Amino acid sequence: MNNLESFIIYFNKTLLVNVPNDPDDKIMTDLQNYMMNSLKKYNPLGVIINISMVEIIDSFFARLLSETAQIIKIMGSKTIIVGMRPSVAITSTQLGFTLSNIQTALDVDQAFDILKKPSQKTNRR
Amino acid sequence: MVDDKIKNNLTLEQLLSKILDLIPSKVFAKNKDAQWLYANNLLLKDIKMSLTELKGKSDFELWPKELAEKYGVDDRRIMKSGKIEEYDEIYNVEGQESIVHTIKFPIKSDDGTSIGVGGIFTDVTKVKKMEERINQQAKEILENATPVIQIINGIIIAPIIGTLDSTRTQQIMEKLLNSIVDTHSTVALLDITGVPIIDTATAANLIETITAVKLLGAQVIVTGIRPVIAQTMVHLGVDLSNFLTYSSLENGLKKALEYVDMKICPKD
Repeated sequence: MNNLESFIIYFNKTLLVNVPNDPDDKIMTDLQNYMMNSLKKYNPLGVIINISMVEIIDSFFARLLSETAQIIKIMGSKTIIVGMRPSVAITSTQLGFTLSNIQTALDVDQAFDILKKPSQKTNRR
Repeated sequence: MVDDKIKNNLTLEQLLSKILDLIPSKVFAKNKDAQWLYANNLLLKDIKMSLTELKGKSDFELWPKELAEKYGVDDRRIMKSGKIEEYDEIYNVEGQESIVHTIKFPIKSDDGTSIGVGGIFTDVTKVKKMEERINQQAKEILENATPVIQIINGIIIAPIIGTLDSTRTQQIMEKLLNSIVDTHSTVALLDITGVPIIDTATAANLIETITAVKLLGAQVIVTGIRPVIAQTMVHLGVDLSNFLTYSSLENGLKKALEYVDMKICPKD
């Protein structure tokens, strides 16, 4: 559990979560739990989940991701998925996993931009 | 004069033998005990034997063991089934690969039982190589036909020309997604002015591309939707209401600029 801290940073009223390369189911569930605790502790404006290191995505990971987003939404914060690789995006769409209810951004910088001016960006269709 | 001579001096057998020797393919016949009965000149030259020497020999006396066994299996199968078989074989002779188009057929007696097997081998290496090159070039043309261009910081455009099948969609998708990541663009304009027809499959491919781009965190604006295409899409029941679509590239570009907080205005 200890090394999980290195994956989560609280910065600028935002929780930045780095998903490690090749995450197994255990790490992901632990990370989710740890994320929830941090959420309660810091009460951030938004959560940025960086998956730029993830090369392979499976159904469990996909479900966990959308579940996490839902939980964060219920807790009154926002989720932005950042840095999905092109190859991962192609496979995901082909598998029918479209993350339609979660916001995405190219990189962390843009995710911060979105969090800064939420009303304008979310109103766009 | 010449015609008369051929007619008068040659038997039908001699005439047929001459014709078979002139064919630019290798022709052979074997009896049902796998003994050679006939080979035309081209084949005889290949195995360096005369017809009289060849007669009665088995495959094992002519070819390496492996090859002879394979031929034996093929021949027995064809005699048993009584059907003509046609296939391409790849040979590797002295480091040179050659592709041989093979036709093998059973030779039947009057009552329909197979009494032997015959075949025609034609070297099609050149034709196949040519085919390969044409396919390769067609692929290259297709790849080059989909440029992805950055217009301004944050906006890229991909004009699509020609029909969108699934292979092409895959190519475009890969190229578009990689360009988005490389150029850090938040908006991708997909111009389909050059797409002649849109059917349900094409529309599905298009939607797949747009969804993949959204997963990356960028936005797609589809432009160049002609009235006919808009009509067919509605008739087909393709729902594009969740996506940004415009009839002209100009309007699409305006919207795209809005996304990156820019606008085009007069100089003064």
